[in-house]
Formats: sequence, structure tokens, C-alpha cells
Amino acid sequence: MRKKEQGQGLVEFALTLPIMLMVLLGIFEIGMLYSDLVQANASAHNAVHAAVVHIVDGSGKSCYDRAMEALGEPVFLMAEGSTFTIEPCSDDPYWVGPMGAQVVGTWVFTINPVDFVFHNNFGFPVTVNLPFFKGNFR
Amino acid sequence: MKDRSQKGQSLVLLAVGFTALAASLGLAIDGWHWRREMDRAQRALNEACGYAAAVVWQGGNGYAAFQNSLQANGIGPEAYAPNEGTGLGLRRGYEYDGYSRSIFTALKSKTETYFLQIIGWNTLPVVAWERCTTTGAFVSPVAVDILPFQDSLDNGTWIQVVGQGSEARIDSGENYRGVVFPFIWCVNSASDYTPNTNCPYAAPFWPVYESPPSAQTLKNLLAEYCWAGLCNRVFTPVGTRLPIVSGNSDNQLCHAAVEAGLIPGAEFVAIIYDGEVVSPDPSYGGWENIGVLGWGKFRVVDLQPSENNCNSLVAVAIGGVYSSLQEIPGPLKTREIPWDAQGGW
Repeated sequence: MRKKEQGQGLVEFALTLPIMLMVLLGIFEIGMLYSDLVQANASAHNAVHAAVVHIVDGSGKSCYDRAMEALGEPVFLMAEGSTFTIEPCSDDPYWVGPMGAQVVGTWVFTINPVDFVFHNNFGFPVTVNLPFFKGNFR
Repeated sequence: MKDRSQKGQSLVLLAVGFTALAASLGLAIDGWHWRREMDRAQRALNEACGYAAAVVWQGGNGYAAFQNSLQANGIGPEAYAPNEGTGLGLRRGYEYDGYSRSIFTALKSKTETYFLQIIGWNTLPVVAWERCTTTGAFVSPVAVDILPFQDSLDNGTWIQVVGQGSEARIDSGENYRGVVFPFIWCVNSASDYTPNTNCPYAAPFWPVYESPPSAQTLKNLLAEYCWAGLCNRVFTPVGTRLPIVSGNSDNQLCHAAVEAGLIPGAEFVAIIYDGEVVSPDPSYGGWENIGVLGWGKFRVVDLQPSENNCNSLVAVAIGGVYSSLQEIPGPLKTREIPWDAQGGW
């Protein structure tokens, strides 16, 4: 090996490592983002479904109580400050949703990447305010 | 020492490695995206199917409800129209024959790929199926005396739930005094829902807004909607006092039941009471009321004198007395059933 070729592999490795890391972090973060969206959609559907089939039964549980029970506690990997709203769905235990009226389950959260590449780049962090699922009282 | 043929070897390995990595990433993203679209379609269809079935039960346009519900969740017409296949073979669309007790619904569309396009795979199929009952438990607006109910349950006796001279209804006289439905409770006040036999406050639930509601409003609701699902929205717990709604004829009630699909063999749920009608103290007004003991399940035996012009609903008790919503077998509302469900669905 000639003197000027020594350490060539190391230099190439050093050059490609950041790119490789970026790609891997990208995969990681896209996966987390996808997981968050799937959980948000699934939990919103569960909550809306519980609301639309809610029956006033004198148990003291309201439409809102049942929706929140069905919502569960989804774990968002990249989201911060998540809040869920469901409208119309009263916390009055004697409230009946009007037949056919549309119920909307909305998640609001901030997508906040954990790494230096995405954070403050590509428009992150971004606040998501989406009506994830809609149903009708029946 | 590298010879001339080994020069650039790492560059080639890097290129191959990156390509493999990019391909894996692309495949994962396309797979995730496809899976998400499948989930989204199935969830949207679940809700659209259930809502459409409820609207059919109410006598409305189920297909319009189906369309509206899907579109609210971002599913376009290309996924559900035109129909493809029929019955158990339905692969896209909405199928209801107008008389069965279930509807078939299916979605079929495609989602575009991002990276698989490189190998010529431009789209992936997105499919979903759902079948729903168009009836719940036919909760009736009628209160049945516990004694004839128990006799029917124990001995299989047929009883008139609606009809002249029935011992099972509120009044055994010649004139039918009234029926009850779960949308008005006799309670202490608007802020205190403790049952009160004097009925100082008649608490209204949707679709009743006024307290006290007009007799005409109640009659219309009972006759037009109660059998057909409207009464499935409130379950009156044991001890609830329900005011009597006078002015509904046997013929009117029996017709409403038939229009809701309550034919011989169908099952329904009715309120069971202790047989006593309580009149409030004169200073409180005129809401005669009954106390709920629970709920009973019946099977229709006959509609007399004929199905098309009945004024008597004859039934046999098959279960109860249930004291909670959870005890009543089968849900009260329209629901999903297996795609190939048998047994009259």
C-alpha cells in the first residue's frame, strides 16, 4: 500500500457515516410519526364509536365519559401536549345525542422530532390539529 | 497492497449498500402507507355501515347515510360505486334489498405507491367489508304488568301487549289510556333526577325539548319512531317513574310496530312495571305515572285481526326481568355482524 492510500477507508467511512445516520434517523422518525398517526386515528375512531352508540342508562356515565374510556391512553412517540376533543358529546349523564348528528373526534398535538436533523428543519416542530374521525349518532 | 482492480471497491459496496437501504426504506414506507389506508377504509366503513343500518331502521335513505358518512371520513365515491358483485359476493358498494334484516357494504379502491413505482408497481389494492343489522332490540313504548309477564314467562301464555282488554298493558278497561316511553322521566327538578311519583318535573330527553311536552308531540314520536329505534337511546333504570302518554290508539301503535318490522317471530323489549298507576297530588298536575321494575323480552306471536290492519299485538315473554342494560341479550342498536351470518339476517 502506498503511503497516500493509507486511511482511505477511514475517510470514506467518516464521510458516509453522517449520511447513513441521517437515513437511519429518518426511518426511525418516519416510523414514529406513522405510529402516532395510526394510534390517533384508531383511538379517535374508538371514542367516536362509543359516543354514537351511547345510551343514557342512569349509571351516571355521560357520552363524554364513555368516549374517554374508549379513547384509552394512546402513547405518542413523537407528539407532545396531546389533547383530544369530541363534539358534540356532553359530560351531562342525562344528555342524549340527537339522532344522525355528526360527531367529530379531533386530536391536537405537536410533532417534535428528537434529533438535530429534523428538529427546526423541514418545518418541524409542527402542530397537528386534525379531525381524525367522524361518526353519526344512532 | 491494493492492485488496480481493487480501486473503487468501497465505492461500489457503498452504492450497493445504499441502494439496498433505500429499497428497504421505500418498501417500508409503501407498506406502512398501504396498511394505514386499509385501516382507514375499514374504520370508515364500520361507521358508515352501522349508521346506514340505523337510518334504514328509522325508515330513511340508508344509501345516502352511507355515502355521507364515508365522505365525512375522506372516502371518495370511486371506492363504493358502482356496485361490484352481490350478496356475499359483494366487493364494492352498498346492498340492501328493502326487507332483509341486514345490509352488505364493501369498499374497493387503490392507493398509489411511492417507491414501488420504480419496479412498475404503481398501486396497491385497498379493500374493506362490513355487514350490519338493520334492527336492534325493538324497544317498545309499552309498559307491561309484571304479573301477566311472569305468567307468560313461566307458562308460555300469550298476552296482548297492545290491544283492547289486555291485562298486560297499563289499563285493563275498554279504553286504552296510554303508553309510556323512556324519553320523559318524572323527577324532582331539572337539577335533581331523583324519581318522584308526583312528577313535579317531567325531564325531557332528545327528541323532546319541552317540559311538559305537548300531547301531540308525544303521540307523533311514539307512533312514528319509537318502535323503530328511537326508544333505544335511553334505558330507564329500575325505579324510574315514567308518565303515561294518553291518546294513542291501539291501531296507531300496532301499525307503527308493523311498519318498524315487528312481524310474528320478531323479538322486542318492553318496560315491566308493578301494575300500579300512581296519580300525583292534585297540586302537582296530571302526570299519572308508573314505576319501572325492569325490562322484559318478548316474541311476537300474532297481529290481530290482520298484519295490515292490526289493533292487537299478541306476544309471549321469553326473558327477563332484566334490571340493567348489560343483562338484555343482544345490543339494542344496529351493529356489525359476521359477513356470512346465518339465521334470518
